[in-house]
Amino acid sequence: MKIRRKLLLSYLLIVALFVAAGATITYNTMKMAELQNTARHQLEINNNAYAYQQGLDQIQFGTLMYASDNTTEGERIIVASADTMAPAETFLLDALKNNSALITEFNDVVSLDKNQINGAISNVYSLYMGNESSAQKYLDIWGQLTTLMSAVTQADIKLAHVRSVTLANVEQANADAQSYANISLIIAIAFLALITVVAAVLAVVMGKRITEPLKKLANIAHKVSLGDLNQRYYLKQNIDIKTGDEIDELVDAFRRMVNAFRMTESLANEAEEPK
Amino acid sequence: MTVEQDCLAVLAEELGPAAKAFMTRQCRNHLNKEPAQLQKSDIDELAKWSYAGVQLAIGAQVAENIKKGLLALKQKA
Repeated sequence: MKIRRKLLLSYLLIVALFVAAGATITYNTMKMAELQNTARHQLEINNNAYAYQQGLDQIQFGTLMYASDNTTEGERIIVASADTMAPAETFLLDALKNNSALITEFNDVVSLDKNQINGAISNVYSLYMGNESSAQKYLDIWGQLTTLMSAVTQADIKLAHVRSVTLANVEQANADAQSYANISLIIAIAFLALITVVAAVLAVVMGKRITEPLKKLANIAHKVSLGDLNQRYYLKQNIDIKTGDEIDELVDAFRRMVNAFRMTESLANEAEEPK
Repeated sequence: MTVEQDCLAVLAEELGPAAKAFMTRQCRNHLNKEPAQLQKSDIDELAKWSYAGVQLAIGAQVAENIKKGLLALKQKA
């Protein structure tokens, strides 16, 4: 194999190692980006569940205020809460549609809201506006408020569960991303070390395979230049130096040149000898 | 190519620029003819005398290479 091809193969080997390391790290980075998106989505679910939870608590608070003769402020709080909860509900129904456990749980919350909570609020309104005797009216209102608080508590528990699941998912995604980051770091270090070792080994081996025969040949050339045409040097080299590249060709040419010297010398000596 | 040129090419493989002088010497001294007069039938003799001459001047291995090369010319069409 020619020297240029050997050097090219060495270069390609190192490039292949770089490409392998790069591909692995790129794959890990893509996975990390994917996990980051998952975590972001789960956090959005968590935030909306929290908004819905807050809305329910505020509705409860607004109804209590309404029943406590602070009707204007109570109404304002209830309306504001409904405005907060509507987009959160739309988002959660869409975001959780692929998670059967959580969508069931959230549907229960929506059902509690639409039936028990809204029903209790309507009843509180009706009772408050009614003409019942004062004591009975407040006893009935209290009964509805108890139903409302019970339903809000149930909904709170379910929403808290939804939030805990999403937070666990976020933590899992973060842990997985961290794991990919660690693997990437290990791969980067391992490949760096491997490439360094391979490059060093190739440099030493290739350097030796190129320079050693040349050094031997230079040594013989030096002896030949001093007039030593003894065959054993280059014959020995002919056996030792077998690289299969341009150095072989150089050795062949050199061997032919020394043969020519020896033959010319022999013919000249013969011509000088007295017949 | 003539027989002379073929033989010269084989000798030059090992002897380089000294091949022509060596072949001329062997032809004149042992075959009693000029290289240009070489025939295919002279190859055996030339191989024999080339072997002897090269063995003395350079060594047996080179002489063997030349002899094999010259004898191979006989197979050449």
